[in-house]
Amino acid sequence: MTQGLRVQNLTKYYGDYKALDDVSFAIEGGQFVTLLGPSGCGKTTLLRVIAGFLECDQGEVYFGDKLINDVPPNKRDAAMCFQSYALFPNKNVYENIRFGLRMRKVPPEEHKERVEEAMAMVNLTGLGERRPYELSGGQQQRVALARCIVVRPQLLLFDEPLSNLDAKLREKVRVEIREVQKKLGITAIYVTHDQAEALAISDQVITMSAGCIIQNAPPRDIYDRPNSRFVADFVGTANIVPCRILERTGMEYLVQSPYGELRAVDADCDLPAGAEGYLCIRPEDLLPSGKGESSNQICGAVRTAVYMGNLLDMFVDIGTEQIRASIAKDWNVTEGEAICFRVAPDKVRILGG
Amino acid sequence: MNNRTKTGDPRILMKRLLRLMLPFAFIMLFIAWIVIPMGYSVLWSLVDPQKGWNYPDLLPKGLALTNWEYVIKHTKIGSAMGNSFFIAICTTLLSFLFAMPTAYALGRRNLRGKQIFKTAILLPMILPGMAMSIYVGRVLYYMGFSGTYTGVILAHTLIGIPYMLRILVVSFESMPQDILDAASNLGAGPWVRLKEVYLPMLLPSVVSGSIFTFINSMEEFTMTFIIGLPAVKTLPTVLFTYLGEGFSQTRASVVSLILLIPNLALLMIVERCVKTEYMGAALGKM
Repeated sequence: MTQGLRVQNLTKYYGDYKALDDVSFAIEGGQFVTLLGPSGCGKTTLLRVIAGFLECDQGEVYFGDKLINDVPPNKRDAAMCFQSYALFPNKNVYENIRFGLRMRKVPPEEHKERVEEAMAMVNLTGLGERRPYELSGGQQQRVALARCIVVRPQLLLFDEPLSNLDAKLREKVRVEIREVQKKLGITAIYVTHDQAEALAISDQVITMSAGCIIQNAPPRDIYDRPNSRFVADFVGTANIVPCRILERTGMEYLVQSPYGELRAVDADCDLPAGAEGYLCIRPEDLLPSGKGESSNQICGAVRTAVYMGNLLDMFVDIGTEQIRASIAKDWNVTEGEAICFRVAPDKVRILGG
Repeated sequence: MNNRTKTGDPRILMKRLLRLMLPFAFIMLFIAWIVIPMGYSVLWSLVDPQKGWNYPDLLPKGLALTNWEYVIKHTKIGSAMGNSFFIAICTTLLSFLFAMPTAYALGRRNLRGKQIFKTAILLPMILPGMAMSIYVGRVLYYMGFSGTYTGVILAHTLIGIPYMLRILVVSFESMPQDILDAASNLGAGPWVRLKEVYLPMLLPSVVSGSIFTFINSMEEFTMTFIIGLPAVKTLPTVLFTYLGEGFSQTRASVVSLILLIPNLALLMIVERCVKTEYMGAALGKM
């Protein structure tokens, strides 16, 4: 297991623009952490500060216990995979991968073995003589990954490495990245704007917006227990409507919303009775049920229903609001039809502003 | 679509014909523009002075190597050629040494007034050569460089730098930052980055910049004439002595052909040796 990473009160300005605003977090050794957020949220800036390409204006970066603010990028024990792959175009695959070994003064007799080991790990065996431009995008990104892991760094950094690949390949390389990282036990930080990718690959997801960390939690919690409207909305799809809390007993709530009166069980909410908040329901948590058959129902008329193959995606009019529901693909509904859903109280999430 | 082409619509036939003929026509035009004067200068250099080449004749009456022999035997064309090469090589090296750091600063750093400076360095290309030469000659005279190789090389460098610099700035600008970051991320210091990342990727630009600078120096007359003469003689100054008072088209042709040969050879060698794929490969697949 490699060492962890700690970032404390990082702040970075571009002119007057605050790209990072007092960011702090810690990563345990061997963890795979994703920085997730829309473009311009500061995630790449944060990664570049960690790599040392950018200097922060305030705050500290620690690798393990060592403060590395003033260590130049070529002396930091971190290796980075770029979105553009950033392979050296004038060197063949073997020399690209060997570069880091030469720079780190690894004895030359070890090079061949280590390069070949790294190439085998990312399924590149036999391509050593090729030039980068003779490879496909997926292969190029694998070379970049091999070039990183061959130096056995403390920290692996990924800057949207899969954005330039097509969907199928993206999934394949994603699995490979995760397998290699697990096998070597290297701490990894992965930047992406793709929430599905973030959920699929990480131990921990750090959701960012406007230079701040909004939520830092494991994938399940990010999805099931978002701490804000932003996270609920950005990760996956969610029905979010304003609501007012009518009653509260412990963590059980009764709320008034455009979807009607609903009961909710939410351990993370700290809003008192009478407060205004937002109600969040995931489309897949809505289950069709006959009117009056169960409690906690939402009823309306189907506006559109789209057959997606694996599910039926529909929008239902409820008064002036709409709700989106994803239900089993075998249901047949016609547009305009009245429909009711039940929702388990613990699937109703109440969020502050 | 297919039906129309099959019926042999005259307009489509015409288009096809044009598509075939147009490139051909351009190539012919190009050949006429370049090759005919060249051919004539070869013929002129081979005219037999006994027989001459006068008006109604399309071709000379007889060919002989007399002019070549004369030029090679009776002028210092050999040493002039040596001078030209020496000066051109020094100029190219000096331009490169000056241009590299400047191009780096202009291409990769955010400097104030960068645009103004970029325009300013092109001035030697725009100003009339004679005007430049007179002022530069003055300055070099006061510095004591008149009639010296140093003076001529400095003057040629001044003219050559814009070519070199312009090309290098553009390629510094288009160098992907990611590749440089990747290098330092893997542990490369500034020296390794220069040697293993910048230089290989800049190589095609360095070569084309050098060719421009080299040829420019080989062909430079005014600067050499004003600063170098009488001590420093290069091929163009020899050539111009034949174009001046004792105008001799035949001998001028010989000298201009001699001037042409090394440049052509250089171009061909360089084209073969240098692979221009690096930059394209780096930028292409992103």
